[in-house]
Amino acid sequence: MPRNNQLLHFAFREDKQWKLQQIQDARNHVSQAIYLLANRDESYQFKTGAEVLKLMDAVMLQLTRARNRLTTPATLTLPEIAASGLTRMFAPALPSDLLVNVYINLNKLCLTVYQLHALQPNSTKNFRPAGGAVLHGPGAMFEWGSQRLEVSHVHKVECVIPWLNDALVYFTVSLQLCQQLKDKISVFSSYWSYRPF
Amino acid sequence: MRTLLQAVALWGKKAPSHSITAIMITDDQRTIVTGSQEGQLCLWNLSPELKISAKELLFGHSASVTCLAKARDFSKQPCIVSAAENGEMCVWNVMNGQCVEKAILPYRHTAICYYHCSFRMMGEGWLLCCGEYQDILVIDANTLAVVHTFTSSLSPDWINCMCIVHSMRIQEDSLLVVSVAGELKVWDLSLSINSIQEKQDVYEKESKFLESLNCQTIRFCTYTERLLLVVFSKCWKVYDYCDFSLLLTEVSRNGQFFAGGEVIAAHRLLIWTEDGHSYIYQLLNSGLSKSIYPADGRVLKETIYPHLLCSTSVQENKQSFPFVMGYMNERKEPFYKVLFSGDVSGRITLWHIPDVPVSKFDGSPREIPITTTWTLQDNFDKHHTVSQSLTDHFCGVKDGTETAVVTSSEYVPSLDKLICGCEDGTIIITQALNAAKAGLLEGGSLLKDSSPHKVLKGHHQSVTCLLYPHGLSSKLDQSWMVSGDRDSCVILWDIFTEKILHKFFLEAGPVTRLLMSPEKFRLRGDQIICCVCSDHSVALLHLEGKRCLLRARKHLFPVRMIKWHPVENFLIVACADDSVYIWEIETGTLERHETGERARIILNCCDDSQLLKPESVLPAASETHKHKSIEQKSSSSYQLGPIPCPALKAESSCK
Repeated sequence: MPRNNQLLHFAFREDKQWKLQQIQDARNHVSQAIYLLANRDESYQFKTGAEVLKLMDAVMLQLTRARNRLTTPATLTLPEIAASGLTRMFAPALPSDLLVNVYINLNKLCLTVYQLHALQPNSTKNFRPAGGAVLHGPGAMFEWGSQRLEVSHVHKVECVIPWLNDALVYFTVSLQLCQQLKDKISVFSSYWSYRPF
Repeated sequence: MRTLLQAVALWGKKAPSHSITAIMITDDQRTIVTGSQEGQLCLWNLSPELKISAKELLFGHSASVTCLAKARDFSKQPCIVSAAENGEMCVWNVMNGQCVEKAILPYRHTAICYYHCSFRMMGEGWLLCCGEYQDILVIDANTLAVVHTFTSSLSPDWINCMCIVHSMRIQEDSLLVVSVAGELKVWDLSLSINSIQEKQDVYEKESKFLESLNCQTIRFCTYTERLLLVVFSKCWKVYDYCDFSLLLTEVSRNGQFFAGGEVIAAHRLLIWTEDGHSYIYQLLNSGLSKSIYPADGRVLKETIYPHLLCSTSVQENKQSFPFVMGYMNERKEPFYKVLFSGDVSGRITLWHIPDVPVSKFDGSPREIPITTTWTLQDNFDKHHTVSQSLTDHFCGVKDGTETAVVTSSEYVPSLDKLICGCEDGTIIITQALNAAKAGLLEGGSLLKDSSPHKVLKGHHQSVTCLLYPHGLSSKLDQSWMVSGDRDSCVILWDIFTEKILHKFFLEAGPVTRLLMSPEKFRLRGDQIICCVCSDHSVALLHLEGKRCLLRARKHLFPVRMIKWHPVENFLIVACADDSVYIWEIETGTLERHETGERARIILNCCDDSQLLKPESVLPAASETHKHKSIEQKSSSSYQLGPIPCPALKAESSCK
């Protein structure tokens, strides 16, 4: 990490685990979708169209949530980033004037490093804490403990991860398949009585 | 001063659908609380004879309810908490049905445990929550604010289930949880109270991999303070609480999936399945001690084995949706042990579990009969005189056959008209206040004699939606009314002369929604009608010109939102997969199709959206007397509270 033109090196500490929340959430949503599909006997025969529609709705809900976790990184406030577990995951520990955030945006893994400097209590600058954002710009301010801090530099690195691209395509295709199944069943719904089936 | 709006809903003969997703019995065993997919909670009276009767429907959530839990020391304050799919949380007083506190947090909870330690804690206590997020959230039971989290130092993950272990011996409380990956974790609750007040990190005390997935329940045996029951979907296991060593594994047979369980006495377990069956087991000692090592060097852990004593069952489940079940052991009078279940049809079933369940003389398991079963519909049937259908008096009953079911309705306040579209394709126009009066009061005769009504015949299929354009824009003809049916036919009526002005055949799926372009969007001076069909197509109609302007048929997913771009003359269609289609209205061509971030930006740039809310709250067959614009306005200043159904209200007044 660059800082005052000197390179700083950090490694993930080994005594604690940190998981990229977006990936874990997406995986858990997918396994819930699989569980919904698999938790019936192999010989089970669906008896009504409504039953299949309801199942597809539940599966699609999980798939949509999984996809959304990868396509929409969380908008965090700077205090939230400072309080996150990631901040304490490094050895040696991060200096107090650095904040780090790691997230997924579509098929990219993004690392942002915020360099901070303290605002003097008698500073003439108008203190306005920044709201939530995926990426904060220089000049964003926040309060941490009793200190007022301002972002002075932002460094961002992105890296395309090919399998994330594949995963997103599979999500789209699987959602379309589910919808097509739903559409096909719905066509027959006019042959059922109109009452909520 | 804000004016108070009183909403009146007449349900007709058919009870509102209430697909139970969560169920609990309050500590005093007087009230059953159910949460539904539709978002409503229902309070049911439970009599000392274990008879059930619906008391109140609570409106507060706009999404499916995920879990319910006690939220206070119940003897002091009869409060429960409910959580919904969209992050809403509400605390309700179950005595008067009032919402005491509400909050929307960015967390989806699947289980909540109330924890209070009177001599160590201030305030009302904590709600320990788990769900679709890492580890455990500690939420203040009074304010619903997030107080802190219990974090994992090893393999943090979503938590499936949890239980609080209160050890009488050492007077310390622990929180036991199982993660989605099958990791058992223990946090020290008593010791963490101080750390949480000082905002320090609280890490788990112990963790152990349980080697099974899809954990449904974890329960501590308070009778022996020794055994731990963990129910997974494909097996259930018993562990020794002292060292978490495995004592017993029972794998599911006949393709059943376990859904939960409870320790009902020392060495006696109750296990239930997703299809609504339950089994009571006695744990017997096999005579082998844990220290015996078999010849192959493997540790022999199985020192106990289960013996099936009793079972309960429900009627064949027509749909493959899981039952939600629970068990309650009342320590005060009348000492009932009750197993309860709720299902997707809204049915509640109770079993009174005997204090000492025994098998038959020949050793085979005994079947415990159902004690009570009840649905909302049963309440409606009991008081059928009050909840008459509006249309009974006009079209039905003639031959004693079923009356026409109302499939859509529109209230026109300016004319005091209630327009009802029926299943058989007829449209009935009646005086709204009269109809409401007759429905609320005892009044079949009132309607029959005095209320003039019109019947419009033109549709051959059930009427799915109605629109009164003048109600949205005063510039449009007061006599016009538009109706759409299942056959994708849209009719423009003159309601004064009862004549059909034009029939549009859209050649699409059933019309699900009729919308009108906003005041500022005009095509050559006229506003246009937008028809959304269930085959995801959208059609634009020009009423003055009696012609169809555009048929947009490219959408792969259901239409979620319609937006209008007045400057460019674009129709913007947002679909359920978050993609956006932009149609040029003049030429009828697809301009663009966008997904992801770009779709979001496009949607945000035009503000006059017309949201298509699926009217899941009210089934198609119920009659609602709500003015559409009132309904939309009230969503911003939404008042939470009980809405007693007329049939249910009558129940209490009968006493």
